[in-house]
Amino acid sequence: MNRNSSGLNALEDVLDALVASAGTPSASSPEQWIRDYPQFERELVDFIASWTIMNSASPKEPSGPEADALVLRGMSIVQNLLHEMSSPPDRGPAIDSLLGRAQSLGMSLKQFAGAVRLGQVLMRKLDRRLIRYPSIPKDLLARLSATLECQEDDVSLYLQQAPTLATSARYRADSTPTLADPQDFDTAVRSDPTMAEEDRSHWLRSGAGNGH
Amino acid sequence: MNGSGEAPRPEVTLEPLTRRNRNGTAYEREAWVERQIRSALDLPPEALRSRAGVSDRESPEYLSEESLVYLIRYLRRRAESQSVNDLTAALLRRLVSIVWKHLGSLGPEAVKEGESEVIDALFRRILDIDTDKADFLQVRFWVVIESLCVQAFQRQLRARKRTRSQVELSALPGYDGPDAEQSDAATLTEEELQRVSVQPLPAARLDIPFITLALSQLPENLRSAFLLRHYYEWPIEDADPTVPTISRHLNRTPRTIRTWLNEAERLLANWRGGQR
Repeated sequence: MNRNSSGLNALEDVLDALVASAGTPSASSPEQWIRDYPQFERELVDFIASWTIMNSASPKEPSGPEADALVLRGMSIVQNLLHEMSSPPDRGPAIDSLLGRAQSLGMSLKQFAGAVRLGQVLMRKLDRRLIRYPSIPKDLLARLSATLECQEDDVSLYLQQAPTLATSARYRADSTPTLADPQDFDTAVRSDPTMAEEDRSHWLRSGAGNGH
Repeated sequence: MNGSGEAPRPEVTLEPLTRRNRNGTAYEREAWVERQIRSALDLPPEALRSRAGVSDRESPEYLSEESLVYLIRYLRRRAESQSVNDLTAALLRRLVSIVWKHLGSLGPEAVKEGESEVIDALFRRILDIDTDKADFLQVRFWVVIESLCVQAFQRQLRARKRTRSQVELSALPGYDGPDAEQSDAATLTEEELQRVSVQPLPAARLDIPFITLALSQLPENLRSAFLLRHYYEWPIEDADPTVPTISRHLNRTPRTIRTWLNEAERLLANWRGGQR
């Protein structure tokens, strides 16, 4: 069979397939691979030659400091890559406010909170990002995104931004809001006087506090 | 079971792989990889970091490298940068000994460059969440690492060859001038004959069919020595301990290397003669 007929067009895929198939350079059958991928003739020969030489060397073990240095250098490379690639935190938030988005979909605070099985107090805290993100159950992220008709990633991004004093939505407040310390989700569930008992039980039973 | 003691949720659907293998079918993760991923998806950051740090492959808490690749991409989509960093560090720690095993023979400076190339190429695939370039990493992680190490090794060999070609030939140890090989071979001692017979072959003789023949026909020890000498033009030996030599690379005496090279040339000449 001509393996090229399958559409392995990228050199990196061909080289990966060669290593996966042969296992060792001795078993690589260069003539066969060159026949199947003549467009990569030179690259395949170079690769198998280098593979042969690499595997013939006496293995070396890194010292402790060398191993640590590799991890540190690696982390630095990854951070640069994250910066270079258009990473999600660099793109603008798709949601300005959970409550604002719900309002634009025609929901009141009470309806929105009810739709995701939260109390209105906790809903406001979420909107202001006063709940520690790691403590928020994944189920809730899914409910929020479904209710707000948006991607779960957008909700996730919104909730990881810095806490805010007020939302862009214009729900009335009796006093000027202050920036409270963020809470864990389960603490907020327990203390929300507006939450239905069965919803409170649901979140506490389903592992609120374990996060997502 | 996941780390918090809860049963994995059956409704979790993992992102399917779309990259195709050489037979034209989409790659598929192993079932145990998918089970590991599902068991880790809902873990809070602390527990996830702890599981990623488990190195005992027999432990039920162990997360394979294939699973870690999926989880890093999943968490990156969700912009959970701390967990991305935690899992990245765990993956890098697992890479250390393998990358060193493959590239360590290059020497400290080259191994640093090689490592950086491997890590850069690897994470370009993993972090590119808009493509399926990381699919095969979720199927055969260590195969890709070996492939990336070979490519990094190859670049270092080429760089070394370029550097060497910039040095005057007369400065090379053991080089006796362009006429040495053409000298009266019949009057040379056995030792002298060995030395002149292993000068790098002229580029014109190193065509692809010839190298392919060497790759497919020579025994393994002869093949490595032949490629290093004639394809990458490494010296057999050198008084400077920092200079990479075939003798050091293969951990054999220069005399053994010369014998191997002579044998390799003899075999190749016979095979080529037989093919005509």
